[in-house]
Order: sequence, then structure tokens, then C-alpha cells
Amino acid sequence: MQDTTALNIPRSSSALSRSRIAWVDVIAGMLAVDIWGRLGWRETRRRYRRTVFGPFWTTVGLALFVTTLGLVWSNLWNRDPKVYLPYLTSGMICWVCFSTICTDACVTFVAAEKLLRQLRISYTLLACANVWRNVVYLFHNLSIYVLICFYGGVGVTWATPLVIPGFALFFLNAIWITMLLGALCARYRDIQQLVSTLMQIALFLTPIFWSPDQLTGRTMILAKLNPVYHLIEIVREPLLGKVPGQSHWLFVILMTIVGWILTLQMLTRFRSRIVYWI
Amino acid sequence: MAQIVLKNVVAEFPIYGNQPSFRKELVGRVVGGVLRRQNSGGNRVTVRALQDVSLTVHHGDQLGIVGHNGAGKSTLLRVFAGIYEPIGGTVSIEGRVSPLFSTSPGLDLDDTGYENIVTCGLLLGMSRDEIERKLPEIEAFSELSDYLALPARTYSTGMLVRLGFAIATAIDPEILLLDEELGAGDARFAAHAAARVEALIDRSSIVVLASQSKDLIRRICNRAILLDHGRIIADGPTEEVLEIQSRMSKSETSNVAVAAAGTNDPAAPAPATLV
Repeated sequence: MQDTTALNIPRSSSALSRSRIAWVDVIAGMLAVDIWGRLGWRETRRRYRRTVFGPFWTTVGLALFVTTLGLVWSNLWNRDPKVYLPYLTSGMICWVCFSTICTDACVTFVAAEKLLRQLRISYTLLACANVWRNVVYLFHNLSIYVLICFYGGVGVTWATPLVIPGFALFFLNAIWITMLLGALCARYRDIQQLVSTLMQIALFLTPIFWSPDQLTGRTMILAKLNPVYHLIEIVREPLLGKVPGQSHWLFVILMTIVGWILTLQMLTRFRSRIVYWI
Repeated sequence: MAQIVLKNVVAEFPIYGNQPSFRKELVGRVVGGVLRRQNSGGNRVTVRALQDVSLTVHHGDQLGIVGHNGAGKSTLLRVFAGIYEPIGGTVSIEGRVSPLFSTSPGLDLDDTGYENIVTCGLLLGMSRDEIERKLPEIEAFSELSDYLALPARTYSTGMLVRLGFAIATAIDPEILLLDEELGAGDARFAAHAAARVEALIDRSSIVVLASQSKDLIRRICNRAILLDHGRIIADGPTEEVLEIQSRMSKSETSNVAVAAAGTNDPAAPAPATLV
């Protein structure tokens, strides 16, 4: 047998406190790439089964959405479609990824009930599998963006490689969000409905269709307090060939730290309880 | 040396989301475990599934857990597996635990047999190399031949059972935990399966099996414990414990005059002690 700690998290004892177990859960879970990669990829494969385009259908839908909406709204707001379309598309792709991760997060643990009742498996591993699946879809959707870039004349600049740290931070946040929502939704089943409702509204409150500089005064400050805005900005700006502002990086890094502290706290206190909730 | 030591283990289940009226009804009754309200007037209902369980399982033990429905058999297995953490007492385990409560963790009906062998194998703790090495054996045992390249959705129930069983029994466990539902398909396959389970048991250091079937317990176990309302009420050689169990079910009441004497340490394979 291989040493799969992620499938057999050590138990608490005098030598191993609950907070240490929380750390082991997170680290071993993330390291079990082989397993979460396979679990996440399997979902993609399932969506390809017996269809020609599989998840590309979502991509096609999204492409239609951004092109029609983009053309109409750029007219309406008197903006150059060659500028507006890349902005809308990059933002929308990130948004779709983020909101799907949030709605998927709610069932992460509940759907894994069978596994959780048999194995002392890492919860982080399950969260990674869910996030990984959405990473795969994201890359499907990015294909639209490549086309839009040709149209809009957005080229590769020296700021483009910043998408790598951008996405890294984006998904690091996605994992803790999945863990917290997964646990919360397992305990309180109403949260799931709440999340899907909030996601609908958040789409309009986040600068995706519009940009924050269109706002003035107090509304602008409120928009800038929206964490999703910063999370999207650190990916969208490099995609558009620009360097994201320092405040965005700072906000997201802070959010990553706070989020993971909360998640480790949650695991420390409730790791052994989640199985009773599902 | 593999070993399991439980000291005064107490396990409770919270019950969530039940209506107050339903809750009242539940508390008034006793079904299997002992139901109780936490802090009187509180709104939390818990089922006490294990009460003050102390037990040592030694290297080489093949332990059967018997008891009627809801006596705490599965809960005890899941405490061994580390899935339910006791709210009282201590559990210490030496050796790697392999729980086999369902034959196919992570089985996906849309995947082919081969894909499922890899996924389930990984989840059961096998490495890629190990799966590769055991593949011919799994192929042969499942008797699915060409079907393995087809999605599991196309299999009959019996074929699915065979596949799951073939994968699950390919592992090399140290401490093996088996739940009774480890089904084995049709009769001809069952005989086949029994031999394979025996081989699996032979290469495990400790086996714990929870089952209602006396025959199964008799065939596999050299020691048994009898659970009733979450307590161990007998512990010792299989035959003697099964004897106590049938005597108890004859008298039809669980509060049979159980001699309270006896040690908590069942180390010696002496006559069955009533704990």
C-alpha cells in the first residue's frame, strides 16, 4: 500500500492536536494530486460522454451571450466594442468560474457522503477535486477569449504572464471558499439556496458589465469593497495585457490569508463533526 | 504489530432537522440506541450509539461483532475506522486501517470498468503500480472480460457487484474492517467470493467483521463480541458468544440478568466473559 495520508488522516491523540490534524488535512489533501485530479477530470469526461462538444456547449452559450450583450451594450453606452468586448468577456469568464465554484461548493461534502462514511479522507482533497473540475471548464471558456482578443486587437504584453500568479491566488481562494461553504451547507441546508440567490445578484453588483470608474462617490467605494471584484481583477487585468493595481494584489493576498485561517479554524473545531452533518 | 485499544469509548449521534413533534415521539421510545436530549429542554436530540466500550484487539484476532439491529455494530466499526470520533474515552490504533464498508468507493456508472478499477483502487489506497500489478487478478476474478471496456452503466447488478468486489478484495490490508453488506452476487459467484475473502483475511493482521449472519461469523472469526444498546455485554470465543446471544434472544428481553462481574480485558481467550 502506498502512504496515502490524504485517504487516512491521522487521528487526534495527545501528541497530535486537532489543529495539527487540520493542517495535515489541508496539506495532504492538496498533495494528493493524483486522486483529486482524477476525481475532477472524471466529471469533465462524463460531460463529454456521448456528446461531440461536451462542456464546450457551455462555452458556446457564453460566447453567444458575451458577443450579443457586448455589441448591444457598447452601442448603448457609446463604448468602443473593440475595448468593451474583451473587457466583458474576460470578466464574464472569471465570473462564471467563480460562481460555479461557489454553487458547486455547497454540495461538495454532501455529495461525497458515501466516501466520507467509509474513509477518513481529507476534506481538502474533495474541495480540490471540485475546484480542479472548474479549472478545466475555465480553460474551455478561455478559448472564446482568444478569439475576442483577435477581434479586439488585445496582444500579449509583458504583463500577460501575471495571469499565472493571478490564477494561483484565484484558485487558492476558491479552495477555502469551497471548504467553508461545503461545511456550512452540510450543516445548514438553507445556505445552498441563499448562495445561488446571492450569486444572481452579485453578478450585477460586481464590475463585469460595467467598470468601477463609471461610478462616482459612495457607490464607487462600495464597489471597491466587493472582494469578488478584486479576485476577478487580478486575473482580468493581465488577460487584458495590463498590470493589476497594487491594491488588488494586497486585497486578495489579505483575503487568502484570512480565508485560510478561518478554514483551518473550522477544520480544527468541526472536522470530526462534518460526517454527522451530511 | 497491529493493535486496537478502546478505553471507555462513548459515541453519540446528533439528529438534525427533525420536527419537534417527531422529536417528542422519538424521545419517548427506544429504538436500538439510547435516545436522549442534551441539557433538559434543549433542542438537540442525540442517539447514544456506544456506551463505555472498552476493548483490546490483538494482532491475529479475527473479531466478529454481533448484536441485533441498531446495537451499535456499524458505529463501532466506524469508530475503528476513525470516521466517528468518540465524544468520550480514547481510541488508539497501531497499524493501517482498511475499511471495506461498501465494495466500491467512488464507483462511477459512466466510467468503464477499467477506469473504475483505477479510481476505486486509488481511493482504497493502492498506488498506480499496485493497481497495474493487480489488474490481471481483478480482471480474472470479476469474470467481466470484454465488458471491462464498456461503461459500468451497461452492467447488470450482479456484474457491478462482482467488479466492486474484485477491486475491494485486491487490497493488502493490515487492519481490515468489514461490514455485513459486502454482498457477493449470485450463488456460484458467492462460493468463489468466499475463497477470495478468506485469502484477504489471511493476509490481514487484524480482521473485524460486523454481521447478523452467525454462519459467517463462525466461519471467519476466532473471537466475538456481543453488543446490546451500545454496550459490550459478552466477549470471548466465537461459539460461546453466539451461544449467549441465542440465549438472550430466546428470553426476548435485553435486560437479561447479566452478571456484572468480569474483567474488561478480553486478552485471554478464556471462556466468554460477560462484561
